[in-house]
Amino acid sequence: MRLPNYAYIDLSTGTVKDYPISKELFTQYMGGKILGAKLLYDLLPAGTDPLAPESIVIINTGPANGTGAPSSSRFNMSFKNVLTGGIASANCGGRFGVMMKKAGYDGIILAGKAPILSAIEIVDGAISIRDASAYAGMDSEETQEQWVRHWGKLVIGPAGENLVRYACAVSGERVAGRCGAGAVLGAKNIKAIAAYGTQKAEVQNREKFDPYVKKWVKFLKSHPMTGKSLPLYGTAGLVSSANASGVLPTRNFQKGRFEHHRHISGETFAEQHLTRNSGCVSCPIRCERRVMVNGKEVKGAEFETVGLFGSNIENHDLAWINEINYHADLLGMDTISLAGTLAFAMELQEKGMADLGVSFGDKDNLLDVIEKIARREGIYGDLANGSKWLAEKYGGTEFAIHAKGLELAAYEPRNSVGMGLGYATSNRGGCHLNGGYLALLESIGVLTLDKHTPKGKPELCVMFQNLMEAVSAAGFCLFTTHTAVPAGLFKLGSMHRMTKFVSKALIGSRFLLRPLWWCLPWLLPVNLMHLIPHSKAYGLMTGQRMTAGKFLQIGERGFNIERMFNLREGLTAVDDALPTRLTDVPQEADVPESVVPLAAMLPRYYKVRGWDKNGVPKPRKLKQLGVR
Amino acid sequence: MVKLVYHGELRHVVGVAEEDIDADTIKDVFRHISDTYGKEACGMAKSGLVALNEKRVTGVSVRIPAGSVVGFYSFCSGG
Ligand code: SF4
Repeated sequence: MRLPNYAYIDLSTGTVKDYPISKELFTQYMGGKILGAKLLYDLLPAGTDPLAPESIVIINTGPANGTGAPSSSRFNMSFKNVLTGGIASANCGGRFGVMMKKAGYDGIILAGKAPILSAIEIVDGAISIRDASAYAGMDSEETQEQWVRHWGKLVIGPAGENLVRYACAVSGERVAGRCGAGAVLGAKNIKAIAAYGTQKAEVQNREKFDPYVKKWVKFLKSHPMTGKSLPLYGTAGLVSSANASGVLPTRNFQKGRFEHHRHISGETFAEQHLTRNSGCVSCPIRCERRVMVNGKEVKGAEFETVGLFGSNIENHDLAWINEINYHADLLGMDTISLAGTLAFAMELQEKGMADLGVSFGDKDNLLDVIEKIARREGIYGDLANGSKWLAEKYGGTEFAIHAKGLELAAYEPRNSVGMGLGYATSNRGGCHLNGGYLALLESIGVLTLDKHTPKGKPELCVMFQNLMEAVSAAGFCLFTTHTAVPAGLFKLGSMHRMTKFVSKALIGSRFLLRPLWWCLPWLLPVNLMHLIPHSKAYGLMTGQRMTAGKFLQIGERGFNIERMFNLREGLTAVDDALPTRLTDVPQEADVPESVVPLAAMLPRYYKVRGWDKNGVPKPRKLKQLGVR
Repeated sequence: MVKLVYHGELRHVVGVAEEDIDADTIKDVFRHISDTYGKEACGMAKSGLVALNEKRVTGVSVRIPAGSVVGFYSFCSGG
């Protein structure tokens, strides 16, 4: 079995050494965000400031990366979360991960702080650090242009240099968006990391792997979601269904429906703005939108950006959304946290609590405002700190839309209460993906699980959180999990009695799902192409005996090590919370159940997870998972 | 009268963006689509998301108040 190759780079001294990953560590923690969390847990002293030189940043890939498996070019950054103080992982689809692997490294661990603004180069097994002070203040595009096109690059913009707490890191036109990935690089004085290599990713059983991949690609292409909707409409295709289901955040999550939603929908996007679709390396789904901004073809906005820079700030100018999305990428800022913070500031202004120069429905100054945020100019420096920080200074905690300090994604959870539970329990804060993405089952997809009932949501939330954890850590794009909803149901439609039966059965499955986690991996000793195609591919590429059961258990282990990290950093059950706007105030006055019944779901969620009533993993659970 | 608004692929299949029809329930609407544009179009309409006055409907027997708008969208996903 090939073990991952990691380098430990001490930026203070400029030294590089190998960092061996043991067989046990590899088989238990796989790669990507799970191995990243474990390494961080072991290497980072508790209580370290995420922006201090002593902090650690891990940039790594999963075993699938570069193997040619579908949608497997993504890489991960793990670090201490700048916004929450807990665990952070940020996933990115640019070329950097593939090139770092080709250059001979599955991961790099950054420690210390470079004395001057620097760049790291990784070229065919050799790592060097060089002066990058000439690139100071450059945007993400200009910075990447300092290397030839076919290299993989990961850079920060001005926002990262100025330690904007939600600064992102950029690779090509993709971003490691969340949690302050750009700020932690900026704090280490790292402007860019560039990689180039010629090595091929190893696949242990190529003979069986290649036909399996072929079959899987065919399956993805035949599925209505990954073969049709995502390529046709991209993620912005969600706007219409989110609006119809009352989960499209509007006016800082005051409402879940936007009267001008048609202007920002995926259909309008496709008809009026799309030049073509594109995708990450080795991806047959190709969900990326290409659009024109100021006469140049660039990557278009994703659903999150459309929702949060659209309905959530009462704006329906889609061309402008694409423009601000592009500018945010150039400056190097996460559009979710940026737009979420702006919407909160707009409501502060509306309520007369603070005037930070922004207001609902007035987008005209925002391009200028985000530039000032990135440079932390004057009062805009406050906006660079995120909603939680702003609420502590100006008040408005009840409508500061974040969980643990990380702004929520573009799903209003009062009409998708399982999504609300996911946000509250997600280890990195208000993240839909780390939260299990139950919105897909409850409100925006073909299935119609009762969107207000707390029943079954804790069990399903745990199931999907663990699954996504494993899929991401293995190196696959999470969109490959969307085929778990059978294609046949899309044909029948959401009103068909079979679809309704499946929805009900999923809620009913809660009685089976709790014991499942105590019976893994032996309970699922098989691989399930139509549900979790990843596990078999993982086994074939690494040479490990892998089953769906083992795969899910690795996901569970990952979620638990992240939780242990958070607990050690002082995040407790008290932080598994949402603003009271979402838990206490019905979204629709005539629908009293349109609130997130968090208090009703959390105790059950902890039970299903094998945690005590304070949300602490029980020793028995940790022993079962082998977490030490 | 009820206004039907087609979006995305379905709009191309039926060949119109919107139309006004007489219908009391969602079932009547599907019957109209099937009779006018054929079974394939009706299958497509059924397999997507149907919204009555911007709110998702999940049953064919739902009554449609006069003057309502019924919209047809595709399902999608995100992340
Ligand atoms: S589905 Fe989209 S985000 Fe995922 S790998 Fe493919 S192109 Fe990239």
